[in-house]
Amino acid sequence: MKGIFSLSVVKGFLAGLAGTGIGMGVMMLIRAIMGMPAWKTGPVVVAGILTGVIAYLAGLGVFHYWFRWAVGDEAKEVDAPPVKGWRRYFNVDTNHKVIGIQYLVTALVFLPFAVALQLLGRLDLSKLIPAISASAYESVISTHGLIMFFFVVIPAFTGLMNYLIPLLIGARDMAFPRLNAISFWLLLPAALLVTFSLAAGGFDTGWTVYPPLSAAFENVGMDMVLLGIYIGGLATILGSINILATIIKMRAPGMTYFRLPIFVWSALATTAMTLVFTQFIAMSFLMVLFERLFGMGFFNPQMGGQVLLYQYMFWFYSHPAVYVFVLLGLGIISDIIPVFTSKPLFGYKTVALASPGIAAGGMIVFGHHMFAAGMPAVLRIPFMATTLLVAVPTGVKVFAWVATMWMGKIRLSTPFLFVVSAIVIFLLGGLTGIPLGIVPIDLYLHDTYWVVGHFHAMIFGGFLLPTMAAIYYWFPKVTGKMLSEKWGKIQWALLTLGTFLLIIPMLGLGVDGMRRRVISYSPGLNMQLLHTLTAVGGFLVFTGLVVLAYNLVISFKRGEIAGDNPWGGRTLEWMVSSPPPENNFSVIPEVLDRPHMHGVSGSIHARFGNNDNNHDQREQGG
Amino acid sequence: MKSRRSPQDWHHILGLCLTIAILSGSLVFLFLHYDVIPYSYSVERGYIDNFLKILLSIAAVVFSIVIGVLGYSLIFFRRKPGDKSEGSPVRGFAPLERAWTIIPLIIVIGLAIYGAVILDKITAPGPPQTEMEVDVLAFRYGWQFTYPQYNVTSYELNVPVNQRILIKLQSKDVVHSFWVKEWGPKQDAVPGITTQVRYTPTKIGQYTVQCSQLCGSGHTYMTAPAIVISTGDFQNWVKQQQIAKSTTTTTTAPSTATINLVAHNIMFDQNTITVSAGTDVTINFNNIDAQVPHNFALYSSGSATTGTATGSIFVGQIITGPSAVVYHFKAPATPGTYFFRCDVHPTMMTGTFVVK
Amino acid sequence: MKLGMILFLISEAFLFGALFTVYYYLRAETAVWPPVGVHLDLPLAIVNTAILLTSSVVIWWAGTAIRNGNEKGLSVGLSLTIILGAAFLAITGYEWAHETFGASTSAYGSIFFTMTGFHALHVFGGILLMLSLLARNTKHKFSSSHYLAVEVGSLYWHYVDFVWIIVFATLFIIK
Repeated sequence: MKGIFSLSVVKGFLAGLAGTGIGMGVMMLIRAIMGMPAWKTGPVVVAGILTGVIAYLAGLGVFHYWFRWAVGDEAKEVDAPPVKGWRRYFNVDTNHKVIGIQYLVTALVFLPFAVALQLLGRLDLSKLIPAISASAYESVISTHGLIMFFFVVIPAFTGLMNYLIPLLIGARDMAFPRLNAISFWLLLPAALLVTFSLAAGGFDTGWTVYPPLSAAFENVGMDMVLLGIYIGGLATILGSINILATIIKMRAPGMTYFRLPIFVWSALATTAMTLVFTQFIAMSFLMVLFERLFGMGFFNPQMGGQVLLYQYMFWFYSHPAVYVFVLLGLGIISDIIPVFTSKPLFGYKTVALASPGIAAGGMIVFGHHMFAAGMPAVLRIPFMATTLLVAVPTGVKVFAWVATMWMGKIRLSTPFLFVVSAIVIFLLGGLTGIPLGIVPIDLYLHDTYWVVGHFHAMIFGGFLLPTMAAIYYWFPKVTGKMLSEKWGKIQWALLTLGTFLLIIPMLGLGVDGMRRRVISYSPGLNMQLLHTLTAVGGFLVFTGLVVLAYNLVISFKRGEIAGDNPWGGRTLEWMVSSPPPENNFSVIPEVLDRPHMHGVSGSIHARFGNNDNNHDQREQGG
Repeated sequence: MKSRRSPQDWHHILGLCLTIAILSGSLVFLFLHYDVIPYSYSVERGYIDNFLKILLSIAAVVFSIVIGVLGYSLIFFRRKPGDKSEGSPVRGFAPLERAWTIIPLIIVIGLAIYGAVILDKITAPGPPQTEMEVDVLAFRYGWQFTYPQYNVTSYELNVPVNQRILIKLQSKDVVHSFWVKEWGPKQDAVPGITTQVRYTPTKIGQYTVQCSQLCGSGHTYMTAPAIVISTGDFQNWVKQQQIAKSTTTTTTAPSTATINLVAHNIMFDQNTITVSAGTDVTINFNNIDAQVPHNFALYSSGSATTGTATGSIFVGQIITGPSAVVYHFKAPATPGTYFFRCDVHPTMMTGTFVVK
Repeated sequence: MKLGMILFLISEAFLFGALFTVYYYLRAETAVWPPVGVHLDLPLAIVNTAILLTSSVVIWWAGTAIRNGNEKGLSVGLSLTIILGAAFLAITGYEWAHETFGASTSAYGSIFFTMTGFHALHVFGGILLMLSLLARNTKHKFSSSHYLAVEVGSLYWHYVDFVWIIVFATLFIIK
């Protein structure tokens, strides 16, 4: 029992609780001294949260090194892991592989939770359970959205980036390992705040949190969410600094930009976006919080504010954010297809450049979320043009993928199966987005289930299914064991069928005019059937996740030994053992050519050292 | 770059083209022949629906091409058991890559231009005097319609068929959105500004205004009837409204029947009220719903399903909760079953008024 | 390490960018801006700007000092910078207390205080950074060949100064 108190996470949690209590107490004291009633939910809770988070970080021990640096001492290096085995994952550990797993596990824990939340809503709409209250429904769907964005998609991708990027570029760790650890540990209080907002009355505004509704909404759940996302945003920005610096500065000799796997290109584009745009959602949420706490009036027309200002600022982040959500998935697809078709990636250079191309395009399309919002009417037309234009680099990627498959030698292993489903669903998502990009059609489809179907198709095709592919592809590298192909294929079938059943009825509901975020609908038409089908799809997805959990556990225990390169991949991570050594590469490899050059005779991706000893000169390809 | 194609290659390409043709053909046929979006009852809907058909057809072709290549490859380009060789070392093919960048670019630019054209058709103001203006106020949770031309205010949107209406939208509190799906586009109502949307309904019937921007827990039920009637019927309705306005009075007569009526959670606490014919009725009306307006109004007949009522007998003053008001009126002299409702929530708060 | 700071500053540029967006958007959409009743103390703001500009010169001089191995010069420079920074914050505080409007009076007030507030927060962070550099210098951590942290710290300080110039121009000159 004593052992458990040595874990950082426990120390941090207890410190956080204490800090929250102290902060709340201090705020109440200050208010009392200033002659105001001591207790007011908003300010007191927010003060408690702020001190709580700082105390939590201190309790974790992340400040230790920097505090010693600041007072001028030589700090004991904390990089050598003080603990071994499973305990590392509950501690502040600076090794990128540990941090990567920490992120991934966090994402995989919140994923079924968020799905289950939404299933509650689906059951309600299918009229299969007694109706829940409007407030509960709105809170459930809003929380589902925010948790998915900030505590499933972003951590999953950050985890994959953290684990894989040093290995893919031939580095021993990330550029700033201590900063890396802090970025992860900041995520937990953010996630807890948003989750427990449900208990504090939830929030009625949808994940988009538009004022004046959000500024006026009374429950403290709203404040918790605003702060939680602000903290999560901070974590994301710190993580982006790390990833960008690593890719820019720490590539192995010979690893020019045009020899990077597409995953790394996608990571570059993704983190460049999160670095800069996250500030806008942080600021917009903070301003709503200031309106609530201090009576400020940025968005209040009676105080000279402008309601639409929030929407402009919010979507300036949130649109690039959705590209953040899918670009890495597209990179995963680009890097997996060559391995299972034994062909080079078709048009590597164009695919690589399409990633920053999509990012750049994605910066200037944000107005398409606001076609009905009341912005100046002619402003809608340039946004329509840019929205449609960004389909071109996206299309280039899809075409390149199927061209890679043409005349290849395809192996239908689980990672590849997931990639195939991902492509189909992503394509469906992209094509259903085109009507939304066209203003007159969007004015009908906006705020209907067509939009919900569209973005779920993009997220399933661009995030969920590629992440499943990534898990099956890289699990052997991480653990040294193969995941069961049998259970993998069962999971694939469940997830793919579930995804289609989830999305297609939503598109149907949308054209029928079913509004978003409503708790009921007029009887008749075939809406109840479509809602039920959607719910069934959701359950199949959830079941697929259960199968994944099962597969992860049994394979970790009894899976087939994987060896260094079970799939025959031609990127740097397959040159080291499975699992990789603590510092990845004892000798930094020298990169000679592009990745994935299957079938191109004489092409070697990289090798260790220059001597002719075959054992040392492990090569990729030839 | 490309090696000389073998006959087998040409077989594959032919098979692929066949697959794509069949797939896209069937999808395009479906989209062009069936109404994707039902109930197209306005000029604006006509434009939107046509464009969507074209769009979906283009999408069907793109989808078929990609799925065709994908599916064909999955079936015919599998690694045969025992084959350890690699696939063909094709790294790219510049003409193809140029084609699949430039053709979508052209298509997309064309769609954007056409989109701008259609947007203009839907939103451009018509010549003055051809549009009828209706000022709409959105609030939590209902709609109020004012016709400045006629000086009439109502909680029902009545419009004459084939008449272009200009809706000027305002919001009293948070962002709402005005939408009648049979008429096409929607438009947000934003506090602090006035927004506009135009419709030309083409079919007589009863539809619903639905709020399309989450505005709180009453969002689902923030609806109002949108009724399209003939020009003659519309003029009659206008006259009726003008008369009803001038007879909304509260007299202080001695009462012989007193009823306590409560409005709470967008519901009345009683569904049936019974009085004797010709009595002086006093209703102590208590509106508990904070910031929600309600009233009590008595008609000779009406329907909750359609949200309409005819033959107004008494229209009480609308009050915003939490507050209370006292109404006085004389019950009809003729016994029978009458209809009462809250004018602000005509589909949700209704009841039977029995006169003995 | 320098790249890390540069990336961080790029991100912070967008933070301030968001604040400027709010200011200029509200200004464009409002008939009377600043609203009636707003009287700004321009002379005091000019003094504050001068203080901050001076501090940038001082920190630059301190950087040159350590590049030449002059530890004492570095300490003097850092201390002066800290004092100037503290003076800036004190004057800002004084201005705030004496403004004719509040953050909850109007949207103008809201953005005024939020913008100057975030800037002041960054100055405060800079002061903490300078204090730790000073502490490390006292323990002889810097020399003519080893001064990366000083460079990075100066970069941050110049940046905060630069942002102030834009804030000052926006709030007090362009209005």
